[in-house]
Amino acid sequence: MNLWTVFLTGLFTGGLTCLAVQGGLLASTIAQREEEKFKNKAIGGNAMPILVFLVAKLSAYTVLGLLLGWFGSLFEFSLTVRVILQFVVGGFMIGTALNILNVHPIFRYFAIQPPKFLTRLVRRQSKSSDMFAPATLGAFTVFIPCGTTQAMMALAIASGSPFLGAAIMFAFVVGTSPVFFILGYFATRLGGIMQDRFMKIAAFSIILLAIFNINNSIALTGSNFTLENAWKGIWCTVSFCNENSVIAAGQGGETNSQIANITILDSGYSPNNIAIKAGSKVALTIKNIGGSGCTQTFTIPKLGIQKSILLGQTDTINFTAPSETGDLAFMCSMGMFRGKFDVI
Amino acid sequence: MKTIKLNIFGMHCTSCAMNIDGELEDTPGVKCANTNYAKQVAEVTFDPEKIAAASLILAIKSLDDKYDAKVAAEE
Repeated sequence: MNLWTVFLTGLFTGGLTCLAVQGGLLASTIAQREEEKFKNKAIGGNAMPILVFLVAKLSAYTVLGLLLGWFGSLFEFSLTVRVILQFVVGGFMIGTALNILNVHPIFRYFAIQPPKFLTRLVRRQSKSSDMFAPATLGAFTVFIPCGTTQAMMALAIASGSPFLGAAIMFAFVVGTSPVFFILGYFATRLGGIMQDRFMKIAAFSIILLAIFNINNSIALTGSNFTLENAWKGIWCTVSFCNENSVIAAGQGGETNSQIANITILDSGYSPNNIAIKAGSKVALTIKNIGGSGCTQTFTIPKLGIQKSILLGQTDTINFTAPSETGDLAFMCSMGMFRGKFDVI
Repeated sequence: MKTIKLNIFGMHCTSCAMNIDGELEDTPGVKCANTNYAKQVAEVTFDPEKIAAASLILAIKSLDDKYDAKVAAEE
């Protein structure tokens, strides 16, 4: 996942999901502004406080990315922790969406209410200073990250570098900004019906994203019951499926292992389907020429293998193929980019 | 000082709860207000000699027509 993808994630999904969580803070920025306008009878747009809010948010998240990257450089999250984290995030997102859709009062507990001292602080500030309040509010959004943001935070940790971590969070938050700005600016002008419709769209986008997230978590557990596998199963029963797998080269090396090569590209792993002999020793050489995000951490969940091959590096993983034939999934640390060994 | 619980109707997000707290605390005679979005309940501590419970409800309604409130419990 490169920074451009991170930016697009922010633009198309982050904006909506984050607005669902952080919208409260933005709304209070605008509400306070409206109140002041009303009191001062001043004419002017909502643009300035929103811009200040967004710039403060951007700065805060960039610093957070820096810290997370630094934190991630100290140690790596274990696979189990990451799987649990992703499932929790997925569940949280669905809960948030169901709350927006007003499905049942129980889902109201998924809405994170900023702590009382924070809202009091903000109110006090709004009365004294004009731009300080939106700036503080923007920075405070760090404490209520939404589902997508949490995924990006995990990515920043996985990057294992303070600079890359900061760049990931920066690109993501820049991506979310247009949606925040547009909706923040027009929020007061949108009628109730429009707002209602928008929230519905947001809710369904969140559900889709959550499904994507959970699907990734399922893949990370090493299970083959992912959505695309289910789909492939359906597709292959109605059509002739021709799966081309690259066959690992014959014996070689000191350990007399099968030799397999994988290149990490910007778009994932290539090849992503490699045939290996059951029960044999495999020497897998991984060359990273394009992966800068989570693809750097090559993972084989079933075998408990996880290895980071940073951009520009090459490394070899030695493992023994399972004795049973079938698929052996491999993927990035988040389960987003996937491939499989065809054990024959 | 007296503390009452109000059932709030018409809140659809946490910022509603924040706004209601703000409005109540700006009302003279109210010491503190704590609105919980998830429970749809506001706990208000106020001086009954300065303000009546009915006025608290009016203050909430004045924020937006969509809000309504009812006294749930008095301590």
